[in-house]
Amino acid sequence: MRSPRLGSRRAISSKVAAAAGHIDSNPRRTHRELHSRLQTLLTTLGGTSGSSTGDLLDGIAFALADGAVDKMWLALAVLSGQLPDTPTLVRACRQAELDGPLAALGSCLSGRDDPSGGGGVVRRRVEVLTDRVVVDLHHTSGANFTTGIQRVAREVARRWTTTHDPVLVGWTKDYSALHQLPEATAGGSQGDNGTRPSAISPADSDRTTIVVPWRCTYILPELLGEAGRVDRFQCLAHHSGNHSAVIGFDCVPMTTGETSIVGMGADFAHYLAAVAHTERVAAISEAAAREFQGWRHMLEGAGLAGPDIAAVPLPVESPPPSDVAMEMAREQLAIVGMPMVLVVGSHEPRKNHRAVLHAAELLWRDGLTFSLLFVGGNSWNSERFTRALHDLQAAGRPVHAVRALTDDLLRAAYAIAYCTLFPSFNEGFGLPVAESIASGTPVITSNFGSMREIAQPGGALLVDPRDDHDIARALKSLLTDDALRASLARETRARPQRTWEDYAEESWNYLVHGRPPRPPGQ
Amino acid sequence: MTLTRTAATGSRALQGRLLAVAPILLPGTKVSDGGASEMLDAMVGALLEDLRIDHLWLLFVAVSARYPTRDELLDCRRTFELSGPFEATLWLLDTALEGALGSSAPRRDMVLLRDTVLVEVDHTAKHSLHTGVQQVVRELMPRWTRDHHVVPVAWTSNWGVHRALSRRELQRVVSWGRGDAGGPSDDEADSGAIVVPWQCVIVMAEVPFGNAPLRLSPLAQSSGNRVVAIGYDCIPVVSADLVPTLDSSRFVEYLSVIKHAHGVAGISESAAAEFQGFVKALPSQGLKGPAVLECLLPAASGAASSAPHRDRTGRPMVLMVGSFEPRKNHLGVLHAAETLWREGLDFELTFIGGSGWGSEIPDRIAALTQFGRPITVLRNVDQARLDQTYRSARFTVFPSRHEGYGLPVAESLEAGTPAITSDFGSLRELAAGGGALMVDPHDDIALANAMRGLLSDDAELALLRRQIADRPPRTWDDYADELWTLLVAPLLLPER
Repeated sequence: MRSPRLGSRRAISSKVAAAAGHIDSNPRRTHRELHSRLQTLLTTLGGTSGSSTGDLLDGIAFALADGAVDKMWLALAVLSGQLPDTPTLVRACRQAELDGPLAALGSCLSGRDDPSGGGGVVRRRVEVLTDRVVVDLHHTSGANFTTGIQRVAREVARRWTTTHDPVLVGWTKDYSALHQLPEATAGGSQGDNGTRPSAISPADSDRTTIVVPWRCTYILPELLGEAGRVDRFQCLAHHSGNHSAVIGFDCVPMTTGETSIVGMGADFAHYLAAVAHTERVAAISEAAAREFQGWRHMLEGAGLAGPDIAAVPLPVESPPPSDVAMEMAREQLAIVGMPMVLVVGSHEPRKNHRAVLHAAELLWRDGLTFSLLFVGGNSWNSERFTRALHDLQAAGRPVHAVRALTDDLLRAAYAIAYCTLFPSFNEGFGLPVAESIASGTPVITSNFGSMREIAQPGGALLVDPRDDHDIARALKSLLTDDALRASLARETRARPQRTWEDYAEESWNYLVHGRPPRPPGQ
Repeated sequence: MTLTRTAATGSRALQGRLLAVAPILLPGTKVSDGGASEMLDAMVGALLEDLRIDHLWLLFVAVSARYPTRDELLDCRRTFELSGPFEATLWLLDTALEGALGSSAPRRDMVLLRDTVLVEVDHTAKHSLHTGVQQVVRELMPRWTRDHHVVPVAWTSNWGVHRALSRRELQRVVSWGRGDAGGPSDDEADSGAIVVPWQCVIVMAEVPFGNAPLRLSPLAQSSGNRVVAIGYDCIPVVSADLVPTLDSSRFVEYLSVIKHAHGVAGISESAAAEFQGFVKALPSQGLKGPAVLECLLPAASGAASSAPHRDRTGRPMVLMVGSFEPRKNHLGVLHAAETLWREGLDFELTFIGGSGWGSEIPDRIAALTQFGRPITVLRNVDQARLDQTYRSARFTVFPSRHEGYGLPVAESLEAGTPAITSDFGSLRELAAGGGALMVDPHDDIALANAMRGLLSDDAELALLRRQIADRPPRTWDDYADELWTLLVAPLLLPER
């Protein structure tokens, strides 16, 4: 029933002859590239590589005659030099069913650039990668700043590259295809603070070689929101026959949209619609896993089963700061004779820094002595925080804010802090909680979610972040009770160690092989 | 109006609003002849003694004639905690003034409702659109206003606070289809009193627009009022690839209210499951979320079965109702139809709906029409024409990729016309009662097979028509009663 109109091979051949003639009439360079793509496609599909364009087309039409969607995905990707999005793929499959595969591939064989594309697509060289693990590091490799997500992507990619043999890939400028990144992308020395220049070739040129994964496992250890990229990723995950899996950081833009920049929620929902078709999500905490599980439950209405989800918690690790940094931190970040309370993170509403200021003011009015240091940039809707900060500074309170510190100096700040405060409303992991504990400094954090999870083995006081007075009470008890502070500091050192190596190995085993980590205590 | 008169109106209005909240903020105090400033001083004083967040919310509303956002409410509390009476009062008046620009609300009186049920029907009241959500509201509200004491409310034009409906708006909500309800929204209502709930139940019968969620979220969390919602679906965040980006953004804001709501009643099991999934994610941010219930919309029982209809040419007609958007899967239907036409089957395909977004569907229709395929597109049809078209179809198709309910399937069955629909979610629930075939909407061949079957097999069609007649009846009365009993009644005080 499926393709009665495909007819015999003889019938195809008359159409083939016309298509071949068309291809052969292209300028030499375009023709050479098209011809080579046809050969690549046919070889990948298991056909014997013919010499004439007509033979190649004939072989391809025969290989695609069964109407398999994954093969059509491959054909579109290889012949057009662009990974298809789902509407494009479905349109081609429908046309193939009605008029045969060569009709469906017609526009890829024209030798002309898709007018909607960025140009240069017809001259791309196309390679097919088979049976490899492909790691998409596009954003991480191109960014010259470090967010928590990029930190994770960089740490795992570096270790995966050492212990396994993944292919690191990024996207072309128009987000239409993948290209291989140099292995050094994941490298960088220990203590790399993310300011290294981009390792990607800056511009797509005539020489761009794109890669098309086939029977591969595609791993996404970062977040992806760019319009073309998310659509093609969705199609790859859904229809290409490649395995796919992602590291899941959180669902905050959907579940805590009131604290996110407008538009972020929609981008994130798009990303989720693509993740719905992957096989696995390695969530960075139990709390993040819980968010993804809730989301997966929501998929029921769309008739989708969604991916497997497992928590592979991030490590709590921080190398010691240098002596120079320690000295600098003592001189510049603290006030002699005053315990320093450290708050790390950008001033977006979700981090609840406005409550920290209020709790601190309550205690200062109460007569307590301490300095307060914020390390983190301004962010969406941080004006309320900034105004309150200036008011307190104008009133002579010992409170300061710095935008950023080097990694070394930040670690020194953690080390010299009396305690840290991190009463966020929602976090996939809560890196500052982990970093504080890894530095041996007690932390006051929220009594739920990933923050409670990280705090659980010891070294933290838990508070209700929606209650300014609860935050103030906890801070007061630490500031006024040296024994409590000392016992929490002892707890930070007694915690079981978990390293980036542990995390890289567990996440690889789950993402690539589907082996979930053993729950703690087993 | 001169500046002085404006100020006088504003001052009188402020006095009136403070009087309205005085019984709550100054219980046991005689304030009947108090001026605005005396009352305000007394209220601020009382709050400085006992900083109840719900009282603070109410004072903010009375002074500003708008609901506070979360930031405004927290700023208010923190200012009160750190200030004396003078600064606290100044802050309130300052903040009220900040939001007063471009709004008529501060000059308006206020009606304080206590222990009452408010139903938010903003969009249905202001517009003559009659899509899924508006249809539910227009079936529900005539019954609720008849059987219970409920107050339908809309938002002021700047999304600041609730207000009562104008007569015309009320007509759009409770007596739709009787008399003239057309035309644009009038401004009459936007100068009347604002409506503020105290210890009330607020039913969100729609997904709010504009900045309403910013003010509804703290209302749900901190005002002492309880917010409940009809949960239609979570399509904008679950199937974001199939909807316009703005819908997804708006829905994320809606979810920021839902997380603080008391209850959500899903219109189908599938819609309830979606909201339940959201609630399951909330413990990661330390919240419990609303109780999620199921209160299923009436799934039609087709009383009106008769012999299969044919159009004038004797050619059977297949109908699909729904706006042109990728989610509804018009392209799959067109592909299946083309497959069947090429096989030599003779039938007409009719689309009702039209508007929507994207050009691929109209383009494909145009291409096939040019090729001579019998496709008709009807736009802006009235109810009578819609009913008649449902009845004259041999069967309908609605293989949507995601629905909270699937109104076109229900309407088809109501008309006694069998349907082909999707084999999961809310559409599966609808089809399970009989009278419909289910297919995987991503499988064009399965869809074509089902359509071929119903086009060529009169016995199968007749069987489905009999099944429709046997569907268990469920009416709008049932729905309205059950929704009240499940969602609203448990939150009300015992009858006094």
